[in-house]
This record gives sequence, C-alpha cells and structure tokens, in this order.
Amino acid sequence: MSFLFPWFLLGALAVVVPILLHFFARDRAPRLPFSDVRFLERAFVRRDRRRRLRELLLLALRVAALLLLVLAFARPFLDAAGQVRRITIIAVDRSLSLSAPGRMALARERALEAAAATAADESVAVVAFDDAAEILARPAAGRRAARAAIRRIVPTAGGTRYAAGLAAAVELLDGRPGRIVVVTDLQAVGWPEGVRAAIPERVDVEVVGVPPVERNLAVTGVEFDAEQVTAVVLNTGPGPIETEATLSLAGREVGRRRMTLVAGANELRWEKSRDGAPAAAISVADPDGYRWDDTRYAVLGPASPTVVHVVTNSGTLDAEAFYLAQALDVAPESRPFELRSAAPAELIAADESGWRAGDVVVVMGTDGLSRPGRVRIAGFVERGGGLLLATGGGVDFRLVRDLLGAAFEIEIEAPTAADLDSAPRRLAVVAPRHPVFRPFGDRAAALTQVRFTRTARVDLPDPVDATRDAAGPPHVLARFDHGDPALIEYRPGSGRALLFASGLGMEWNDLPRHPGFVPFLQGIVRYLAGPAESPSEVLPAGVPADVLPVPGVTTDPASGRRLAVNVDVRESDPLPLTPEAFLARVDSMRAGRVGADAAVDGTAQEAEQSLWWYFLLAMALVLVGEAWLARTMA
Amino acid sequence: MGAGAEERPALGCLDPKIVASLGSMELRARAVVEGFLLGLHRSPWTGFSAEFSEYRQYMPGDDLTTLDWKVYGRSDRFYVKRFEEETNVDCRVLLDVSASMSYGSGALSKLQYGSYLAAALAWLMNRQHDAVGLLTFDEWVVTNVPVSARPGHLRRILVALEQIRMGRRSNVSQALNALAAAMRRRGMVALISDLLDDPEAVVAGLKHLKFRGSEVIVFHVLDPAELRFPFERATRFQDLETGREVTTVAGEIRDGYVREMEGMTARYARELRLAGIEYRQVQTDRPLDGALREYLATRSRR
Repeated sequence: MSFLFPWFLLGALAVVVPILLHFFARDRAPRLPFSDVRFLERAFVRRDRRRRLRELLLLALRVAALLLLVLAFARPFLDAAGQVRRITIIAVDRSLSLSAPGRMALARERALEAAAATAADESVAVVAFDDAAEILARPAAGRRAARAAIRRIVPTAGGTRYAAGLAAAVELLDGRPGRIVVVTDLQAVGWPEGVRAAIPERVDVEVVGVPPVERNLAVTGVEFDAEQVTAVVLNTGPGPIETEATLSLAGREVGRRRMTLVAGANELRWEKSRDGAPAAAISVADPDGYRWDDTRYAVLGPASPTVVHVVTNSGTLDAEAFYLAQALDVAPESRPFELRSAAPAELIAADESGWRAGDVVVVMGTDGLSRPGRVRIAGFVERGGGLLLATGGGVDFRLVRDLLGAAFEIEIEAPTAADLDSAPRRLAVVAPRHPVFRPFGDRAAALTQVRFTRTARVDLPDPVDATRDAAGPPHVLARFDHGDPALIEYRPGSGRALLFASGLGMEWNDLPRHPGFVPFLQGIVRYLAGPAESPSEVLPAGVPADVLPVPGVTTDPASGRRLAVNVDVRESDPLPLTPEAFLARVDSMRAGRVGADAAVDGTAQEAEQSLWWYFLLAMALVLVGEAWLARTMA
Repeated sequence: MGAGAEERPALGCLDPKIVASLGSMELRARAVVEGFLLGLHRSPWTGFSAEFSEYRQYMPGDDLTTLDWKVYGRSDRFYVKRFEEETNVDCRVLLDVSASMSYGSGALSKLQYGSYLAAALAWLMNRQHDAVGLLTFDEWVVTNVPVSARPGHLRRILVALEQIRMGRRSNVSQALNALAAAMRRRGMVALISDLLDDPEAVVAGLKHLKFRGSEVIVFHVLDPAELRFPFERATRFQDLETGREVTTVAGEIRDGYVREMEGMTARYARELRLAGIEYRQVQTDRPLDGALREYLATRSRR
C-alpha cells in the first residue's frame, strides 16, 4: 500500500496521547483511606480483570480510530508495485517469420519455460506482437491464465516490430519494477533504421532466441504486362535450390514450372495472357520457409473506379462538363474514374445511399438546387465525401456557404466589369507539396501559364480562428497573381472540399487547353476521393476495417474495391540479430522520469480507488463500538 | 441486631454529633447516660441490695418488711425504706483503637464513636456501683485502667478515653486472650470494636472469655459507608492499617463488597449468638441509646 500524502502518517504519533491518558488517568484516581481493603479485593479481583480487558479494548479502539483517521488523511492506495514485488512480462513474437514449421511451437515452449522460471512471488503477463502488440494476459490474471495465453499464440502474416512489443510491456509494468522477456527469432528487420525502445530503469530486458530458418523462399514482386507475367522470387538460403512455381488466375492454376533458384533474387517470367481474370497469384513451393510469403497476389484489370458525380445545370456531361469528362476519361486503367451526371434539381430526390465515402461530387451548376439539395451535399461532405465547387458561370455564389457548410465563413463575389477589363491573371501555387499537385511533381509551376480572364473574389475571414472548428480553418493552396485565393481547401467533418475560384470550361480561363489540366483535375479528384482512393495492394497491417489481415485477394466492403493483401517483403528476410545487437536498441530511461510517472500514476490510482472513504467508514464504526463499550463501562 | 432500637428517633443528647460537640469526655458520658435515663422514665438502680436510698410513703401492696418502724414511732406515719442496689460485678470495657477504627465517613470516626460509647458505659456502670475497668488495644494492649469501684476511678477512665490515640494494626483475638488469661474474677466484658480481623480468631477469643465465666457483650462499630459503600468513581482505596492500595471503580464492585460485608456481620451474629454472647451492631450515625439499652438488658440478666 502506498500513500499520496505520506507525511500525514506523522499524525500517527498522536496515538501516544490516548495511551498516556489511559495510564495517567488510572493513576490520578483519588486516594481514599479506608478501614479494610480485604473485602474490596475479594469483590474486585474478578470484575477488575474483566474491566482491565475492556479498558484495553477501549484503548485499542481509540488508537485504531486515530490511526484510521491518519491513514484516511494520508490518502492510501493499493500500489501494484506494493502488491506484487516484481512482474515478468513475456513478449512473444508472432510475426510472419514464426510461421515456419515448428518455429511457433518452439517459441511457445520457450515462453512457457520463461514463465515457469519466474519466482513464486512474481506476477506473469503475456504480450504477443507483430506489427502491433496485443496484451493477452495481464499481471492480475494469474499464472494459469498466462500459460493458457501463451498456448493460444499463433503466427500471423504481420511484420516484426520489437518496439511495439516492448512498449506494450512497459505499459503493463506501469512504472513498477520488473522484467521483460522477449521470445523471438531475432529477425533484424524488427528494428527499422532509427527506431529504438525506451525502458524504465528498474526494468530488465532479456532475449530468448528461437533459431531462425536456414532458408526461406518468397515471392516478393509481381508485374503483369499484356502477354507476360514477371515475378521476383527471393532465395535467402546460402545456395541454389530447386523448387516449383505456380501461376493462378482467378483462383485457378494455369501454369506450373520447376526451376532452380540461386541465392538472392530470381526473376521468373511467364508468357501468359491474363485473359480478363480479375486477380492472379504466383506461388513457389517452400515447405520449410515462412508460410504466407510463398504466394503473392495481384489485382488485375480495371480496378474499382472512383465515382465522380458531376452536377451541371444541364444535367449532362456534354456541355459544361465536357472538358472535365475528357480529363477524367484518360485515367489509367488501374485507377479509372466513373462519371455520373446530375441536374441540381434532381438532387432533391437523389438517393443519398448512392453516394458513398470515396465518391466525389463536382458542382458546376446550381440552378434549381433547393435547400434540401444543398444540405444533402453538405452532409455528404461531412460524412467523408469529397466536393469540388467550381465557381464558373453556372454557380450561384450566394449558395456557396450552404454547400460548404455553415462553418465555412467565406464571401464570394461575382467578377465585376472591372475584372473583365483587367489583364488575365495567372495562377501561383502556394502549397506545391499538397497531394493535389502531386501529379506535377516538381513542375507545379507550369500551371502559371494558364490565363484566367474571370475569377470569383473570395474573402476569407482574417484572421482565421483555427480553434473555431475541429476540422480547422480553410487554407489556400493556390492564389491568383493579384493575391486573391484561387484554390481553397476546407475539411468539414471527415470529408474534403475544394473551392476553385474560376470555371472548369473555356469561358473563364484557358485551363482546358493547358497540358496541366488533366493532371490538375485528376489530382484534385483523387485527393477528394480521400483515403478510400487507396491502392489495390495492401499489407496485412494496413487492411481497411472489416477486412481480415490475411494474404489473399479480397473486397473492401466499404468501398467495394478489390484488394490484394500481401505480406511485407522485408519480413521474408530471416537475417537474425545477436541478442546484444537487440539490446543495444533498448534505452534505459532515467529514474527521475520513472518516479514522476509513478507519482502521476499514484494520483490516478488513489483517485480511482478512493480508499480513504473506507478508512473513514471504518473509523466511524470503530468510534461507534468505542462509544458502546464506554457506555457499558460507565 | 436491634433494628427496632436503631430506628427510633434520636434523643437530643444521644445524637453522636451533639455528643461530639460537648467539651469533655465526662460531660459527654454524663449527657449520654442522663439523656438515656430520661428516655427510660424509671430508675434502673432500685433493687434489693443493701444501701439505703430514700423513704417513701407506704402504699397498699408494699412489702411490709420494708416498713421503717422507727419513723412510724416518731411520726405516726408508715414509710417504706428504699435501698440502692449494690454490686460487686467487675465490668471491663475493651476498646479497639487500631488504625481501622479511625475511619469515618461522617462527623465521627469509629474510634470517636467507640470512645463515647465506652465513656457512657463506664459512667453507667459507675452509677450502678459496678467496678469498672478500661482496656484499649490494637495488636497489643495499649492502655489498661484496672477494674475498681473507688470514687474518682471513673474520672481516670474518662481521662484515659480522652487521651486515646489511633493505634496500629488490630489483633482482637490476641487482646481477648490476654484479658481472659489475666482475669481473676468473673465479670462483664463489653467489647467495642469494628472486628476487622480474622472472624474465626475473634470468635475464639470471645468464647475464651465466656468460658472463663464472664458475661460478654460485643458492640460491633461500623461506619455507614462500610456497610453501604456509597462510592461510585474510580478510587484508590488505601488500607488504614496496612497501607495497601486497591484501585477500582467503586460503583462496579459495590454489590460484591456489600455481600462480603454482610456475610461477615452475619457470621459474627450467628456464631456469637450460638456461643451465648450478645452481639450488637452499631453504626456511627445512629444514637448511642441502643447500645446502652443492650448493656442494661445484659446487666439485668446477671
């Protein structure tokens, strides 16, 4: 047990007061001469013995009440460090490298041995880690639960991140002294360059090694051309090995070949048309190596397109949205766009469920756009959709705030006659590293060649209050050469919105004629599509929600896109570290830091436990007992 | 224990407080005895013994042998002669002056009360022409005024009583046995003591006296606080004789103490009665007449 205010315990010295009073009060009884005390003694002996016991009990109750009061003031709490003198955290590596035959069983065995080797008064906790760590048994769960948790550990397709496992172990230790036993095959890739772990000073780290495999074969890359498939196969062994490779299209084996793999990378070419298959997989036989890196999956053919809803006054793509449609139509086959047109008036009855996260709405006209329609667009963006508002001739500027959400404080004015008479304006990119301009690389300045004859005047609030909305204030990505904002980003809710202060046709500028038009528009639309506009290949650690982190071809239920889940190719290299090299990455934190953390933790524990209430309650009960006893003795 | 006598309202001159306020032991003794005799409304000293007392006119029924014929010859009237009783009884008053007798919760200590009682008894005995002696004792005899009926002897006794001082530890049986061994003539012994000694030894000593032919009367002097133990709070009780202390909460042990004390007095009363010894418990807040009455009753039997 620890105390938040231990100096209050000095008050316990006050217990000498009732003790002294007890004995001094006895001596201060008045003396009375009496004729003969024999009869007093006979009558007194038995009663006095009982009374002395009661008096001692009374004294004990008074002292107890005082001590309980002192303890309550000292704000006690049950410090886990006080309860358990030492904790051993067993961190077990369950990454892909442990999927080799027999390796996980060996790791479990080592972990069980480490648990059995702990002292009887130690607590044991279990953490399993790959790319991330998972706490399988907390210290309070007991040794039996820890052993059961170890037996349940199975390998995953994830990578190795020692720092994650150590961080979880430190979190479990919670400032208490202890020991972390890392059971791993010591794969070097688990310590990426520059990554270190910080361990409290009173914590020891031990490494229990599991021997790595001698050789691992892995398919680390696949490329499909129109008529051939190229794969890279890694042989980590010291010499060549003969194995068998298999090509599957749409889950069906279409080819098999025996081959000899030299040590290191091997290229494997396969003359084979994809035949419209949506997915492919290339495998090599590797019964002694890692399990999930023997096969590499790929999504073929047109991927799920990014849907772009274009709102024009005409309700078609042929007029106002002609150049937009042309620009998006030339997207690569692997990352296509699907355009859908709508008239502003139709948005009233539009089925909102047809707009999904990852879709983009481009508003080029607002004629007939009712308030429910505007609210619907704003709500779509709030929930994660993307919106591009091009302030061309078809947009009623008074509706812009409704479309961008009430929090978007902006004033837009239509171009005046003076604007028309002035010289054409140029575009200046002020945030060239923004993803919108990513297709330009270092050549975003090429957009300065565009001539803008008409622009909308956008007045942003100045200064922008960044704390007004959690999503942050609007910020400018590009300006016209006279200083007015040209491209403004704002993030209402979880979505993204861009306001382009000119049109996407030829009426307001010559942007469609410019070579930068296509990458500029595609960049904008892909950025607005947001995270859902993801690549078709992901690592197990990066799969979207509701997708199992298991290698293979799967479909993201949120976006409907096909995904190829492949292991991290770095994980296929079994190159081990020495335990010393492992521990060299572990830094011991200063004791002062630990102490400060412990103090903060103590405050939190005390507040959570609030044991002082129980002490006060116990003191009240003791005082009731004291009053009752004193009354019976009176 | 003479409860009826004790409950009777105290006469003024018998009230111990008033007696204590009187100047000398002689005055106290006289006041007690005269007050007691006034209460009786008759003279106890008329008897059939030898010494002439007075003449009284003959009344029918008087004993004709008491007619004084000489007076008849001179006055032609019948007078009968009255004689004061003469005695040759040796009366000894034994007064316990041990330290325990100095206890007193009220106006008088047991020793004071006992000395007044002893003086009154001596006075009464002297008026009855008995030979009176006084013996005070604690564990040994402290004062011994021999038995005598000579004029002026009473004064000597009263002076001795006036001068008594608190003694040491009591040993009643030792004094009784010493007295029994020294007695040459049978007589009457009045023991005034709180009897806070070994009851068995005390009773044995009294029986010894009785066996030697003496009439024995025991006045058991107790303070009311010794009987009722009215204390409540935690107190250090210090034994007057031994100095030993007992610290206790008085209220808690009262019942036990009273039982012990009642047991002791009941034992004395029972065993002394069986031995033919008069036993009377007197309390220091009660009048002295009860004790005197007890003495006279015992004296008349002799």
